[in-house]
Amino acid sequence: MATKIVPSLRASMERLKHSGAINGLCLGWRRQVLVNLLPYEDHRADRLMHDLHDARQHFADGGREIRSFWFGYEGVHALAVFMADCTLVMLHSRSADVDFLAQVGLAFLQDSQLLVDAVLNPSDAGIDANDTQELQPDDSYPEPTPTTHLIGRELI
Amino acid sequence: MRFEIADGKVAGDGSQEQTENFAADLQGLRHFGRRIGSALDLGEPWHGGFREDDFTHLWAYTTERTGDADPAQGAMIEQRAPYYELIETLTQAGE
Repeated sequence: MATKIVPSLRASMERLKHSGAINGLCLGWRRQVLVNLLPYEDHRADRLMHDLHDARQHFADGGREIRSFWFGYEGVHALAVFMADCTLVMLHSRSADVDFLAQVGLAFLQDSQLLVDAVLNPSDAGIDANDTQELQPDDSYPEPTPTTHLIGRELI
Repeated sequence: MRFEIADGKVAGDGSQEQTENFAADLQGLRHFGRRIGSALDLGEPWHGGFREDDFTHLWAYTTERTGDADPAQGAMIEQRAPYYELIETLTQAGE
């Protein structure tokens, strides 16, 4: 899933790196990782998204509606913010950044709904064509001209 | 509402029900904090919390030890409170 991301969604996440001392980012939809910009392999990002989904569900089963989790580890903090089915995880090193990051993360999730929808429904016309940049423009790899002359074995 | 965790027991200035609710949330957060720490190979969490629209829960160990019986401070507030202000308050209280 993570390899099918439109470039503009990844670019939007890259901008989040300017919001504080960010060590990594990960965007998920339900249990799926959409963009993994963490300094970890995808299988760890998958586990992280599953664990956060389970944690949110655990509290939801008790009637709670969790907007964010914040955990601290040796040398790094993990902040997860939620909006609808989307999860944004931010690893950051300065605890003083946390409340700003939570606000920025929610704004990102709010503003990126169309891009996320484009990733989840790539057949939808319009969004990909207008709001994203082609990875490989068609004219970079032109179709070969039909001028090749094949010589049959029987003619030699 | 402030809580103190020591020797695996939670004591606070709230009612018995509030203390039990805090302890249940603490247990859940520790569990999932450890799972997340394991997923990213980060080890044990030294603080954890969550926020709802009108509720904030945060706890933090007050020493270098992060076991279930090790001392910690916690708080739950019936409003959306800043994490940073809360963690500063909790960690300073433990010094």
